[in-house]
Amino acid sequence: MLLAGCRAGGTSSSTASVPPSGDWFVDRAEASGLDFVHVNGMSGQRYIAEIMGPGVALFDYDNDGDLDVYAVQGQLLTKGEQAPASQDRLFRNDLETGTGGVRTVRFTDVTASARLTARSYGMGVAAGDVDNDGWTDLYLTRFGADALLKNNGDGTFTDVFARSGLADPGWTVAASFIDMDRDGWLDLFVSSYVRYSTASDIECAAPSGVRDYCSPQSYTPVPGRLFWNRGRGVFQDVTLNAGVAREYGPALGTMAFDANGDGWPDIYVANDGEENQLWLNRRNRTFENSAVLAGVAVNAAGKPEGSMGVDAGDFDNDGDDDLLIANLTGEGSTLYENDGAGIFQDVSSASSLRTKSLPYTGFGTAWFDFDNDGWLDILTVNGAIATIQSLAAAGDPFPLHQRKQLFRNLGASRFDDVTAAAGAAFAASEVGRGAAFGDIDNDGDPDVVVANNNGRMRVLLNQRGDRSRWLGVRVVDDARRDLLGARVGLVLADGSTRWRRIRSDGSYASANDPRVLFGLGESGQPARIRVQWPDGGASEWPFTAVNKWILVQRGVGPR
Amino acid sequence: MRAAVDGLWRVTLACVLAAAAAGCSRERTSTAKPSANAHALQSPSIPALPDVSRFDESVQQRIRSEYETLVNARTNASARELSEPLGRMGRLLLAAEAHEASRPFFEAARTLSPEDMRWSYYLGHVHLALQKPEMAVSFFEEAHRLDPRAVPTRIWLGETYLTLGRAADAERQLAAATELQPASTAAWFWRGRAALAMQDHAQAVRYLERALTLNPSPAVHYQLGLAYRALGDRSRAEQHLKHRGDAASIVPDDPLIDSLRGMFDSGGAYLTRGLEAIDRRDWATAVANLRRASELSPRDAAVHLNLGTALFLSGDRPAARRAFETAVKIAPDLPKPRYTLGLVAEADMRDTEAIAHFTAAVGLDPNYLEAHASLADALRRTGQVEASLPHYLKVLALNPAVSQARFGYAIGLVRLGRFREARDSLRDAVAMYPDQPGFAHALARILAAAPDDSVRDGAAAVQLTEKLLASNRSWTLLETRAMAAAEVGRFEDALKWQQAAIEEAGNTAPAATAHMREILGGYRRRVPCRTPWRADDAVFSPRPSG
Repeated sequence: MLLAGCRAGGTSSSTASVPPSGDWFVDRAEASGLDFVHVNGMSGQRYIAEIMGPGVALFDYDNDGDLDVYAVQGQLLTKGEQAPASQDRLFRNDLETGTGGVRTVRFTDVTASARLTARSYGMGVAAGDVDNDGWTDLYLTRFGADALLKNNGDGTFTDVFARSGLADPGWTVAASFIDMDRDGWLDLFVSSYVRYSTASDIECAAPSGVRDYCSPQSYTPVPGRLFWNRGRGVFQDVTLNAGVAREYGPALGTMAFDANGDGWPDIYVANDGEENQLWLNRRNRTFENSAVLAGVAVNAAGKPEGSMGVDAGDFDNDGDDDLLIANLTGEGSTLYENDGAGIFQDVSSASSLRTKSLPYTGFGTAWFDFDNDGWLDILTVNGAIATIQSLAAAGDPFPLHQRKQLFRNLGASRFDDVTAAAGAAFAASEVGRGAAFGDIDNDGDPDVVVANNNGRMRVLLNQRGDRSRWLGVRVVDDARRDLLGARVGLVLADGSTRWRRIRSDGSYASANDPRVLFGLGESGQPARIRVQWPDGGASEWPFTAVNKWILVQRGVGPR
Repeated sequence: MRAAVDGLWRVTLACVLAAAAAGCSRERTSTAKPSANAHALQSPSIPALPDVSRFDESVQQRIRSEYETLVNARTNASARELSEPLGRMGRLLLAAEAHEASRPFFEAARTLSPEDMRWSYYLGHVHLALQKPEMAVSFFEEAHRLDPRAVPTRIWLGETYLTLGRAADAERQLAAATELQPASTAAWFWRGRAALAMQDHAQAVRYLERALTLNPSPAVHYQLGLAYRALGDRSRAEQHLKHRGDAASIVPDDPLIDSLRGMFDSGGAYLTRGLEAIDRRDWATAVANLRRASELSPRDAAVHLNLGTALFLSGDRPAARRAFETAVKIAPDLPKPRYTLGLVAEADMRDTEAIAHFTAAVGLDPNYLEAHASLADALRRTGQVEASLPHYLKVLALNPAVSQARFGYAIGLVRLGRFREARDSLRDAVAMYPDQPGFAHALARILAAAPDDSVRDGAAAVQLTEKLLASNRSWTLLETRAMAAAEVGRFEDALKWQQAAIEEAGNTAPAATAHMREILGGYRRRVPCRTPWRADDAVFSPRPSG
């Protein structure tokens, strides 16, 4: 009762009590046929590139209503023979719903039939429909030349990078699709990491003198690029005129969201060991870095952090999006609370998030309401970037692995580490990197695909969330294109409103389900749905149904 | 597995902590009544030597030697006396950042000498390094109980409370610290941070302003900026937020931690210290540490590279060159030493040699931006303008934000007489870099004085120069203004502007005035200028600054 009273208008009743522990998530990778093992190509040279990938995408490539998986692969980094079958792979989700509503996720490797043949050293993936044909395309970030895979709508993809007006920004990890000028075409921000090649590799050592992976500060960062979509997926590099190259660092995370509530999408860039940028949209295809005054350039201590994964979401249900950033061991995850006008306060320590994440190096992370109680929780996949001495001393051949962490939102800006209660899937220690979040089995709760470096991909199906009421919403335009950047407000019967953003970016090097889920607890009751469209318009409809996925189409409404 | 280990550790620590007060183990018995249990004290167990095989050889030797001393001491020393070599061993491992390995030695020292706050204090730091702030707090609290007047303990305790979100507890400790040591920047700073965490922004401003008077460091400015921002004083907030520094740089005067420095004679340790000194721009210290590092790690190319850098920055180019050459010998495939050798040659005006080194660097790493940029400038400087252009373009492909490359490319085109391309390139640059007037100025010169009739646009040149003169005034800009006036046929104006330019140049660049007077003569004859830049103008001979 006391806890519930602290909240900003929620009606859920389940959050005050801790859900019983158990297998809240189970790994169904093997059972579902998602057989993917990442190859980082390590050769003992400790090339920094080999520990930075991979990401993963959850997206519906065949428009059959369920989420498919694009898995990013590495390569050998030294000259020589290619590792067998080391290329990106596409897995089609052949979701089956049996009698009694039992859902079975089955993945089929359709890489060959999709005509995905390129062998490059992949880093990450972003998903968005760049030509407004209703089929989701992919942008692939790489240690090497990037790619833009046009979804042909017939189950195949074509790399159209060379003819799309895009320029190679060097070693890239994260990218965000953003309709920066609200013209209905997705523009693209691609962040770059550092200027590096195996030829320019330098040897770095831990203080003990032992050779270890270098930090990005050993190399020169490269500015990201902003590409304006002139229509039909033809881009123009507007980086310089837009001003987004004025300040930069070794970027690993990007996020497009409306930081200051003015209805225009801004860009947050998370840099590894250097100040982060918050590019506020000046509504004329130019941006201004406001990170320092906004309080999101450095943490509360004034320190630039080794930022990797990033996400924006309304964790306190006050109507604005707050920032979550996964950082290095010893820094802990950072939580910046938004005052609604784009001024943020670092509440990492007060929320307990920082202390509990200090021993881990976080990569993929996101806000997601795993228990559908109406409050956004956090999952972080972890894995060090420098040798963990205790593992090395024990003879571990790849001593970077750490376990994942699950944080439950207790309300009142407090989080509890519930990892130990989340089941066997969370006991595994792996070198986690990418994580894509989405409802893979369409049962109304968020699942997670985890991309491990030099390890097996995991499919963590949520067994906990469907015990509560929920509503799933997909927001599209008349071409049935997911309207990235739209915001959906679910007005509850008690008058409170929960806001979620349509997005595919965020986390680390990964693409997420563009649909949104509203957890409603045991008794939450919707009354109306509001949508703030990416072009600034808004619509509202009465709506009371629960426990179903609905489609909200512009000009049509919910159905 | 990890959870199980952590759990075991907590049980052990609980016993250890209890030992300080009353005791619960064999060691507890020993420490509780040392004089009454002499036999137990004479041969207490000591922790095993940790695996040090992964350390530098010199570090290994130092640790093994210290451990041998400890083992020898066990047979002769009393338990209390043994705490010293145990603690020394812990300190050595802590200095080597072998935090986990240092822990049992400090624990043993603490058990044998529970009234000695040092061991609890070090254990606090060990647990901070192990990312276990809750444990660190327990040890700092114990150290504080043992020595309530130790200000560093209070400050670290306060800081750790803040990490744990216990702002009120932090404020109590830090308030006491400011009373005990009112001249301590760290005490006021961290008290300010505690006030910020407690949302008491007015108090935060008071404490942080006090800290700022003691030490105007960027870290203090940043916290003060946050406090003013919270109070709604945007102007002051922005003024302070311009300076940003890590709170971790504000540490108390701390003899116990300071004593850890210099415990090792390893190349890695000296390299770290050298790099820290470079960050502080303390070249002399950097050179001294890196020289020592190079003696201890003679086959480490990175050490020689950094030593060369420190020497170069300190102005000792011959020595820098030798260090870089050593790095090249050790790692011939590494592009950076080649590049740095090029920089030394360039600084010594040996352009041909510089070009060879830069070329080698880009050969080893085709995406080496700095090497391409330096190579392009060196080629242009030596008249190999055509050859310089691809390198400028490569720089821009690697990073379009490098405006110097865009400028160098455009001026290279001018040098080749390709005025139309130069004009177009500069027009693009003016749009791309609106805050860099050099592009607009160069464009104005071309529009005013290019020998290619199809390129000149006097009216546009007048417009550009008038705009530039509104915020800048230099003899070169005045001269450009004169060129523009002449181009549109306003020779009286041109004479006036050129006279002004000559007067201005007389103070700052007297050597240029002779040529300017020639142009002035032309204006008197109503002949416009057709040489945007003299052939020997510095714009064609880019030299690295500093």
